[in-house]
Amino acid sequence: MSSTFMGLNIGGSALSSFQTSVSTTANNIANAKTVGYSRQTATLNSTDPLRVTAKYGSVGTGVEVTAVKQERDAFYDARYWKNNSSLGMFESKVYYLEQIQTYFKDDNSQTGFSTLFQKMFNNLDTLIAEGPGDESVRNQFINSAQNLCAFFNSLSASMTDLQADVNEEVKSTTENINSISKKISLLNAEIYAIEVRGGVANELRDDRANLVDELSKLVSVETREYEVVNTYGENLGATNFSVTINGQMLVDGFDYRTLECKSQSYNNNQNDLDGLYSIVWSDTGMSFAATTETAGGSLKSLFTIRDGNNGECLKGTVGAATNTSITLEMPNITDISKLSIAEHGQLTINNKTYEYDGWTAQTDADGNIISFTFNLTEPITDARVATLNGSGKKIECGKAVEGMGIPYYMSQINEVVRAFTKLFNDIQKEGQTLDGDPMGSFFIANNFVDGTEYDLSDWGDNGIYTLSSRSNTYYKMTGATLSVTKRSMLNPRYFSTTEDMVNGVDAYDIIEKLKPLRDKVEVFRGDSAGAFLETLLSDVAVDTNEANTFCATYTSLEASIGNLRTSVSGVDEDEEAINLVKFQNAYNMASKVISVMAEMYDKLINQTGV
Amino acid sequence: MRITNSMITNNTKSNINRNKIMVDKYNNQMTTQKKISKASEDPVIAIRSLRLSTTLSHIDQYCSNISDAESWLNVTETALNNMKSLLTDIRTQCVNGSTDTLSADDRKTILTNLQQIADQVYAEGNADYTGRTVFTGYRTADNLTFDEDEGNTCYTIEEPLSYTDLSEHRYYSGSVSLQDAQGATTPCTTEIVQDSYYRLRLSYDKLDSLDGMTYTLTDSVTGAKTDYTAAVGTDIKVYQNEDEWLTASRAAGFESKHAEPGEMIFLKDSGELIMGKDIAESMVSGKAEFTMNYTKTGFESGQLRPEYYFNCSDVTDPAKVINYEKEDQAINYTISNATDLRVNTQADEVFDHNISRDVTELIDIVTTAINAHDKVKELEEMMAQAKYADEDSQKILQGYLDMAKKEADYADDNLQKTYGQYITNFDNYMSQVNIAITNVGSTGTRLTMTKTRVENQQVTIEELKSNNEDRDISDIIIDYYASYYAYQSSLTAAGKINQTSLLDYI
Repeated sequence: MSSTFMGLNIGGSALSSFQTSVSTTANNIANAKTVGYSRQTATLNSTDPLRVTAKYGSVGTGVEVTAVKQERDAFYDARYWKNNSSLGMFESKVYYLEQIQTYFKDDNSQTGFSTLFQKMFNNLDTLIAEGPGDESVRNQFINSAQNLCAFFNSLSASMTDLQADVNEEVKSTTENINSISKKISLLNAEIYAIEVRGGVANELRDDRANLVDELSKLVSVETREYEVVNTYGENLGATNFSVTINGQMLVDGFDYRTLECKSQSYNNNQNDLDGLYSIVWSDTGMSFAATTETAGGSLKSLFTIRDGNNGECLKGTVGAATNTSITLEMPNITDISKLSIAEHGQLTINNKTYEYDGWTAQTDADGNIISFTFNLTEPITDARVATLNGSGKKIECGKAVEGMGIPYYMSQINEVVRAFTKLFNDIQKEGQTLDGDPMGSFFIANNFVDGTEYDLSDWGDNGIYTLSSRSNTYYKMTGATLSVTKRSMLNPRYFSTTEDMVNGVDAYDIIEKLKPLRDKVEVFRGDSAGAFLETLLSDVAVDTNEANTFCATYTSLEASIGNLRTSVSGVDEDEEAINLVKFQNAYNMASKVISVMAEMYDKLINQTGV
Repeated sequence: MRITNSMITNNTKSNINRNKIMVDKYNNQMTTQKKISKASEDPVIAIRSLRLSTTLSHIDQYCSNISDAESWLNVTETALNNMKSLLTDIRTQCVNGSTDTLSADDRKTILTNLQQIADQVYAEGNADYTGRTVFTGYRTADNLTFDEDEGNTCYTIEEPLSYTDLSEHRYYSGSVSLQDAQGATTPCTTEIVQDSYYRLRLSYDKLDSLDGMTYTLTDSVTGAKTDYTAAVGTDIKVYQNEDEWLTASRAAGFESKHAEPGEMIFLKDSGELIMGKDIAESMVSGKAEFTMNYTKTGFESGQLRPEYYFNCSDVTDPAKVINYEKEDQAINYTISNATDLRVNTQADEVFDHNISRDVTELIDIVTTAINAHDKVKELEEMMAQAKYADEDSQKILQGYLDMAKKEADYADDNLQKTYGQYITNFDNYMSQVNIAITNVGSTGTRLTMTKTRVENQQVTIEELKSNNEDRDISDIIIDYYASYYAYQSSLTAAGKINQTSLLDYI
């Protein structure tokens, strides 16, 4: 026989349980629009039954709330974060490629390379038609050539500006990662403190997941949650949470690590800005792998855009080595006009790096480079010299970074500019100026240090040359330094149209030789100079197009994974409305139970047998 | 799957956004009427459009070259037509001069006409198109002729000539002197003699010196060529002018200007090489090719500059010798893909040195004739004077008059014959000019044909370009409205779905 007053207790337990349920529902409704909020449910369990000495055995004792827990699926979180890294990567790639693409634009709205290039050659034709002896027509041509140079100058400047922007974003991204890293570790501590006492830190967990959401856009993220056990292997009821980015540990429980941006003392490519950042771990000083296969997120694409040279760099084998120099033999690049190694750069041999601050190159009788000698910034030990000298080990100058980024486009610009101007200048030098004097280089490279001009005369097709990074060669010619010589700009007579002025001012044999440079002579990547824009535009357009496609794919994946996530943890207002009605009804019923019980006691105590 | 309100909201949002992107795209297309605004939207279209722009830019340049070529040819044709009418004028004078009877007035008229023409024979050679002389090859900044008298300018010239340039020329020795007649005391001893020799006339007269002569003879049987050098001074006797020649001939015992059968005589003033009978015959039979080297100082305004015709050197300033080499200086305009058109006609094709030499000779001859007749007239007048009425004087003067009449007869004969001969010369010059005019005309025809083709090409390429990158406005409008309605309906749907919840019904 159960206790007489048990019914009141049952009613009481129901009242308090349903109150909790209604509160939980109310909390859900209140947070219906909160970002990252996971729906919570109060778990109702019947309390333990009471054994009574009666035929029916036991009676129920009521209801209790065992937990208020969040509805969340860790599997979907992991999927979401993985996808988010890819999305972040392509989003930022698209952002920058769209910019690069506009630099190459050439249509009705914007004058670009093709228009300027064609105009320059059309002016050559005009020069024949209206007389090469006419100074104003010569001037017209010279100006159109300078316009082309100015285009390359501004293209180069835009690229460099973009590289600076990307570099700054690398820094801010790093800072972002650091702050997230710290916040996660703090949250870990708080969650631990709450949960070790046997509760669930629902809201804090939501906060933490939000931070990982944010982090996953920047880098690729993996997380692990594991139980904390004491030395006896007993579960303490709490868990630890660790985060690895790009495969390296960032947060583990209460501990966190930070990254640091360091300005490089060397450059990887000739046209790189000085002092680009490299990222290292603050604690170990080891470099952070931002561009590996497993890496992802916007940080990876920032590096691809900033450093991507399509995996091309100077490679060869180690020849002679001394304490202060290393020689690279059998280079994969033998043409100085294709060289885009930095003046002050870095060598890599067997994963070990050596910084250099200058180089010299030796050519064979045909003007092809057969070896490079790099002057090391820091002397190396005798032991190392012994292992390197004549070892034939593989050596790399600069860093090969996959992807077509700013250095790639810069070196392509250099290549076409150098090849084209060399052909042009060589033909020019066969002729005479309008005054009958021998002609020099028409296109020159500006020396921004002292304001003079490199007339590029230290190197030719034939003869053995010893050149250095400071020589007056086509190495100095880049998109940034290209210009028409001041002599021609000031005096249009300084331009050759004929080999011998005695033939008459309107002889145009040199012009006839220049004309094929437009679209008949192979200059750039097996094609003529005129096709330069087509080649590069197709590079960037196809790349952007591809990135856009990926971006769209990952965006729609994000939507569908996000939907799956909200399907589990999102708040549904209709559902909560039903719950509200449901729990209110239950609450009403429970209070009815109590009033029924009260009536029953009244009957029993006051009216029965009195 | 459990669908929550926020999922619906999210999906609605992304759907609306997708529709908005389409509306934006077609809106863009509507304003630009281009299929793409960024290369990455469709790299194929972008690259193709770039190529077509390049081709179009080429064609635009061809069009500009063609119109330049047209103007150039027009200027050339006008100049050639003027030249032709000038030659016709001279030829008319020749025809007039070759008629049997010429009155003194006729001769005067011919002289005046020729003198007027003489100054402007080569003026048309300086015709220019926008400041560039059209007949001077690459030296478009210079005129074909000397612009002013250049007394100090000195050239050494190497002139090639051929046996066909050898022609028979009549030389006259002796002239009646009126001064001698005036005294009427000494009888007339002058004898007028006509000699005829083969001569080679150089392009210039008033030369400083003959510097050398080489010639090549072809054996008529074997065809073998042999080179000869004639030594100046020994093989060739050099005289300043005809008078010096006459003096030398007389000193040698001849009555008139004489050349031995194997002898060559060079006259510096008139720039002529006179050949004796035998050597002239052997030159003709050997089909001789001559190279004459000579020096000339001083050129007159209107004279042709030698550099357009011969290998020569300007040695005015010995420190700064300019060597000219005669070459073909073609000015070619590129008028369509891989098609070059030669627009210029070179001076030596139409402006022959012989034209002015012939005119000068014609003037000389007619002047000589006028003088001879004047002499006759004056002698006749003298004889009518009372002063010479005595028989002796009459007799002596009659001797002078007879000789003067002989001189006038010779002059008339020479005038008539030479003018008759030169009609052929001018016919030849005219035919040269006519050939040049025909060439210019046919070049013009080719140009017109190419122009039509290039213009057609331009239209085709523009069409291709438009097909490639432009969208038809009606297509865009249809797409635009379709996407706009989709956008509107997605808005309506979103409005509806977010309006209600279960709470409305509780």
